[in-house]
Amino acid sequence: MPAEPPAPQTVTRLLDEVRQGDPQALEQLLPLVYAELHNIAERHMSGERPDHTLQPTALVNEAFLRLVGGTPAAFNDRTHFLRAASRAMRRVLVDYGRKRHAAKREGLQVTLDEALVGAQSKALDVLALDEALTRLAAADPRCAEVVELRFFGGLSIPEVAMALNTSPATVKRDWQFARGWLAHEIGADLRSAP
Amino acid sequence: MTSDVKRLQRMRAVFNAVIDLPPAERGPALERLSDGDVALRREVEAVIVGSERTASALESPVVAIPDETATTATSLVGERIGPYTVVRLIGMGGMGAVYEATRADDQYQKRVAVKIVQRDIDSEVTLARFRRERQILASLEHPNIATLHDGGVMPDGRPFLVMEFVDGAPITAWCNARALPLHERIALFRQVCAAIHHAHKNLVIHRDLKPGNILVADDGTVKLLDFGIAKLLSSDDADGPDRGMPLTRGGARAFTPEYASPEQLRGETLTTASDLYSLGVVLFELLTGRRPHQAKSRALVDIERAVLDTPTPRPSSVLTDQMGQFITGQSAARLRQRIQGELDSITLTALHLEPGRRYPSVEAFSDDLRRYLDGLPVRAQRDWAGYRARKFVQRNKVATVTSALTLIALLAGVIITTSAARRARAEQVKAEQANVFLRGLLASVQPETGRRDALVSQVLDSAARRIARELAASPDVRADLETVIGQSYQGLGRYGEAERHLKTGLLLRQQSAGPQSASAVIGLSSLGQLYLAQGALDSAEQVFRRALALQQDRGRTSDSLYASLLSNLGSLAHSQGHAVDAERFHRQALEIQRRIVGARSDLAALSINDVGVAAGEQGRFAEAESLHREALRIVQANNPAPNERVAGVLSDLASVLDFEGKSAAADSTYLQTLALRKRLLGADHPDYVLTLFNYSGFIFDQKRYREAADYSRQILALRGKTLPESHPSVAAALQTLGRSLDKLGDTKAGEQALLESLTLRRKYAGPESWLVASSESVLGEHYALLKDYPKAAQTLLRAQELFVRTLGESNTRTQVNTRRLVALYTAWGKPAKAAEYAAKLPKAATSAN
Repeated sequence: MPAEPPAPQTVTRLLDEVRQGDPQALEQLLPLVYAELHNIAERHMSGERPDHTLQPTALVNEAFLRLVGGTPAAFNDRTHFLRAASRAMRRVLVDYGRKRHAAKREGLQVTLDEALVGAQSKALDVLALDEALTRLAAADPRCAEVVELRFFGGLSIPEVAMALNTSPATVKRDWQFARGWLAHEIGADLRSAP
Repeated sequence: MTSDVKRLQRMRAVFNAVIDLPPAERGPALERLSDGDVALRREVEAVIVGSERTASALESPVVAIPDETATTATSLVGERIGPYTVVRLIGMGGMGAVYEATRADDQYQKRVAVKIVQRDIDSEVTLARFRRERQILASLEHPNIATLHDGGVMPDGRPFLVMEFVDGAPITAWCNARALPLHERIALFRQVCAAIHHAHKNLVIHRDLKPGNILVADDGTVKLLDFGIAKLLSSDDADGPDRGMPLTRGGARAFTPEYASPEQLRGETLTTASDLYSLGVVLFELLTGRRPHQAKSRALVDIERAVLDTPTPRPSSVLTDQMGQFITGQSAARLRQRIQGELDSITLTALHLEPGRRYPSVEAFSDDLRRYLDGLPVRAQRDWAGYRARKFVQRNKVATVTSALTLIALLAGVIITTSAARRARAEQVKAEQANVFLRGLLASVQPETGRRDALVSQVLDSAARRIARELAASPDVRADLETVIGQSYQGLGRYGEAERHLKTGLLLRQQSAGPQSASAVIGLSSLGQLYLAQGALDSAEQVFRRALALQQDRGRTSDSLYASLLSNLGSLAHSQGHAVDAERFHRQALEIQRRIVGARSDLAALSINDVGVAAGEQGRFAEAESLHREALRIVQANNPAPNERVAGVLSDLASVLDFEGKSAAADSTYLQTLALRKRLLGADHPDYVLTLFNYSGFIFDQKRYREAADYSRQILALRGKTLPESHPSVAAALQTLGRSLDKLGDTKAGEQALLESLTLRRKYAGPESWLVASSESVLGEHYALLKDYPKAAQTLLRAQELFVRTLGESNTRTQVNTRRLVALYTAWGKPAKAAEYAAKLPKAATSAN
């Protein structure tokens, strides 16, 4: 993707507007973030990193650094940004999964094993995760967004609580349920016979 | 869809209602709330188990992008591998991909797991090794080990293994989900021991034992997975020992650090005792619900620190009320009572930091557990009571960085490990700053610019320029990096920059980890090593003493950091000319190293070599030679490629051969060292210079004065460049130059060089150093040559006094001076005086000169 990253002012201005409560701003921010994440992911996958792994949260943060700059931004800015970026990240990864293996279900593998550094980490399909999250959102939208923010955006529990305007305890409980449910859903799916 | 939504909402409601209950009460509550809906009840149970199992993973996700080969691997779904039809991908990791497959031509559908090993197998050796490994693993028939059915090589050359398909839960989760009582946990665990013992008898070490590889099926059968990384115990292992195990995937290793043994964390050769340790961790977790050590993060360094810095707690001491309830449904007090004593002893015996102090075998471990279950006295020694865990901080002598790639790898290692800790703390922005920093560094390399260390310098300069700005927000990452950068500059002989970065590193360490921390001690030690290399002996001593005192205050007097401080003090004592002290320090260091890293380790070898140097200094040449040769054998065995450690030992061996008068052997060893060091370090490096200086002295003794003068001038040309004026080699080279010039007849220039040498030594080595005596001795000889006998006598006597005071009368250096006195008084026509000094010399030596 040849596109130059948008000027930091643009993103900062949009973040400003988000902070002032302009719902349009978040919508405008999303494509910018998406494009940037896409660029970064593309670059990473084109062989800059020999191990062919990506950490979504690291990408999001790289995008943040590139778009907003290394200057310490207001905490709120970062939260708003990460909320947009989490959604964008999910889309980037899902798009990748679709594009790369249109005919197959296996796309990007997201490790779900405890042993991230181990050799035999089990991986889960990002498309399956996306699909499961969509189902979860139908029943429990907040719970699904907690996963999006934590998993794709790397927000901490207090940050998620702030972003969703709820209490950390609630977020924690949502997160706990989502973890178990996803492991059950996707894990069971992985292990069941065809 | 709507029913799906409703069902999910119902699950959520039940989940919320039971999750905070103690496990023992969950069952009845679930029963009640699910109102006869068995499927719902099961699902909620599964969600609860899942929510406990995947906690750490979802919080630090990694997405693997399939590369070329992995993409072809992915497309295997639906394909056939031999008689197996690939159904789906189960998982992917650094080692390759695992698929579920069915045996197609069977009348019944047999499920198997097919593991495709992702590795370069084009070499015949690798392939042969793989076959051999497969054969051994296939012979590992045991009801509790997932069977290896088959294996082979795919058309594209990738080897694959076909294994039993196992459907089960990790042992810890399985026990907790059932609130399994203590006795049953231990009985189940003993099944695991039986399987591991079987493998050990077949010379197979598992190497990655952890709950995730110990699955329990619904019916309670244990299955061990993944002997995939196990290697044979045989000594003709073509791949060599583990010490060189490459890091893959950004510092990842093919084991799980939380369950790894201390020796595994250190990358040492493994034995069955390593599996025993991992089993100990699993048992600890089964008894208490947690692992023995709580690391700051999953980064290897943090885990290493946790394991090696803190004494292993007794299981009964960490058991909390909540955990007691959670894991067995019993009160913690009850459970603690049952664990206290014997189970504590058994677990801690398995978890000894020293492999030799654990159970002799997994069978013995399991047998002690049986004795516990049967109410018999257990055999575990309760020697943990007074035992203090040893800490291990591996800080070698400054490694000389010889390629830009090594340097980057070194810096990357620091960044990756420290920033992994950051990620765990969800401070991703900072972690990413570190990564951006590293990427920038990589980009700064311009490989076309010729010389090797020019490239290293380039990368270093770039790192040095950027570090303060880019890592301002991560002082601990920066602290480690500053030290590495400083050491690298030191390796290049650029002492000014080295000092600046080492000092910054020290300051940041003191600020971020505390002035009393191990990190601060390491910072001090690094700075001291620089001063030592520079020949700033007083500063070095001050810094080392401070570091030593801190270690003593912290009660850490038997770890490798302490050993390395002792080594440094030994080297310092040597530089100060205090050979007896030096020997004592080096022997103390050696003793610790033998204990904690082994007698065949490089560290022990370097200490052996240091003891050799000290022995040589005291005139025990034969002993010194054999110590140097012993050290050489070890480092050569450990480092088959050209290596600076080998060069260092060779250099010392050459010196002692020289002292022993074995000229031919000395000459060839010197030349061997010089060639090696020139290649590794370049001709302007202080260590190359040191060997060159020694060689020039040897050449001088061979009466090749013109060459000796040339070599000395070559050294002095680096003065003020890579050699500061204070560097011991400067004064030493001046001395050889002066003596050579005297011999060549230019006594005026000779005297000037000798006087300058003396001045420098008085200034930098301190007045109470034999180095000063040595300069005076040579100067006295010069005056004798000029027939200025009174001045010669005065100078030589002053030297004699200092030699006797610092080295003793029987020291070789003292004797050289004594011989000069004999020669002087003989020339001066004072035979009585000459005889007086001749009497002090050993008989054989009297006639020699």
